[in-house]
Amino acid sequence: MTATAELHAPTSHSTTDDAAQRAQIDRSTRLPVLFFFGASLFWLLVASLAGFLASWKLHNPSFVAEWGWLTFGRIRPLHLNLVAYGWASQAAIGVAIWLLARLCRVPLLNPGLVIAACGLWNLGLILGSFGLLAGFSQGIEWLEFPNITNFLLFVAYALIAVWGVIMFRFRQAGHVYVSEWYLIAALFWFPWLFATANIMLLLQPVQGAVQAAVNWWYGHNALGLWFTPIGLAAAYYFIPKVIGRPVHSYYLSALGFWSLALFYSWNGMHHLIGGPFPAWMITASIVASVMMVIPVVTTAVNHHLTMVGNFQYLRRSPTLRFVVVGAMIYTLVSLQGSSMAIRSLNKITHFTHYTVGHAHLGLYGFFTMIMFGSIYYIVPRLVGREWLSSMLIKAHFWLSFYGIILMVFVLTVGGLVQGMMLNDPDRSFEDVTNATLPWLRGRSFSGILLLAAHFVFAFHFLLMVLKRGRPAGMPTLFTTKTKEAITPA
Amino acid sequence: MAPVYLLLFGSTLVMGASLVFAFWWAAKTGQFRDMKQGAESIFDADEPVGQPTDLTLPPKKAKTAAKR
Repeated sequence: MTATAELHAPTSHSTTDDAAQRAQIDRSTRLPVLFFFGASLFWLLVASLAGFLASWKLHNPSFVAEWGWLTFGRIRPLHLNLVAYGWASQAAIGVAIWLLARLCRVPLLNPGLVIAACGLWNLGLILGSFGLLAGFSQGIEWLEFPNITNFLLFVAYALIAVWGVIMFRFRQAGHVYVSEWYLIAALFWFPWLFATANIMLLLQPVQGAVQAAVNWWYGHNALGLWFTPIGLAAAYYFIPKVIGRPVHSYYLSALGFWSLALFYSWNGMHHLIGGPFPAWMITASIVASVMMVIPVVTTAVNHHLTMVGNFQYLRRSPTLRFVVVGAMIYTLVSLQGSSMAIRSLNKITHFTHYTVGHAHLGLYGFFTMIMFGSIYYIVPRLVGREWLSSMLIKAHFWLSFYGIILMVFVLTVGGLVQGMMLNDPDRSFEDVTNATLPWLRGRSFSGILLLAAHFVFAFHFLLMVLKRGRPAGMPTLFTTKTKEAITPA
Repeated sequence: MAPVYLLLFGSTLVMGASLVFAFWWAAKTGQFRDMKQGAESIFDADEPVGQPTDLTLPPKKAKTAAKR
């Protein structure tokens, strides 16, 4: 490795230029990215509390039941929508802004667009949260927020997408890195997906069973065409960048992107196996779901071979820990998803906690972990300080890691028990419900671990924003060169 | 059928076509040509290949010494 470093040994002049340029680009994204991260962490805390409360009510239904606004029917959609649009989407946008600026090699253009988007976005979330708690849910999963919120979110998405196109248009000439493909694709796909689902479900609603089809097409593709591409974009950037070694096979990364673009949008109908639909719709979706094995295995092999021989950096880099765990879970959760689309397994897992476990493994184990890792890399470069405490970082990592593993374990086993009992005509529904109770208590316990992790992380982030981090210099990459480059600017 | 569905139908075709166009554009501009250079495009003279860029956590003294 040292040999390679020497081979690429730069002259001192170009080194300072590159460092200065990179520092300048990073700095230009500071305000909007910190806004998005700060807001996303605030909503993460609210969403985690709502999720914990919803989980607790599943085994203690009478808990705070006297308040209408805290009933399960309001808290549960609040949890889902705040995780999706409050935490995950805003973290995704923050990471996307920073990555796009770096990959296009231009300082942030039109910062007004992204800051306006952030404001509109959070205004929408505030209105939507009160709306949900007051009982104005739309009753469509993933789109429960009132129309005004969806409208504000759409305008904000559109602004971000326009900004992304502008950045791409004025990028510095050269190769378009695989992460850039994923980012541009996500910014391009999602506003369209979101608008289409809103029109077909809320503004000019389609009738009958087709509603369910559109609903699941949207719900699944929000994950597949929005969160997944952003998560993979981050993984494709941070894994090579942190260990200092290019992606093992760039062919595979191109294949992974194009096959994902081709297959993912067919997914969704497999949530409706057994429903009143033409068989071809569901079969096509099952086929697409299994075809997803191609991009998933491609990506998994590629990331693994990039990491081989570099696992020692997991001990040193918080970013790498979170991102590598997220990338591994991406493989796991995607293959699990493909298997769940197959009718014989779906017969057991459908309508059980197994599916809930799968959803958490995807959005938390894969996506959220990668976002955490990305934030650990990005924030020091924006505020010019190092993270204050290794202990807090490690506490965050292990609480998140064990929390999500425990949650998915209890929901998976509990879901299988539940599914097999549901398929047994001799068991009463009451029996089935009682049998899930111990597993649901386990899930609430895992929720405590995750809540603790999130508070630790939010606290650490707050310290960074308040400039309480360690002054840059030791022990990482804030080399004197970078500092010199930053200081005059 | 509301006219808005025509818009949706049309936009679906546009989305499909844009994927084909993007693929054609990528091929035309040589995105699939020099794979090695492409993979190395995220490195530069200051952060070259071979240099890890995140060592936030302190090394564990005893274990690292033992490994070496």
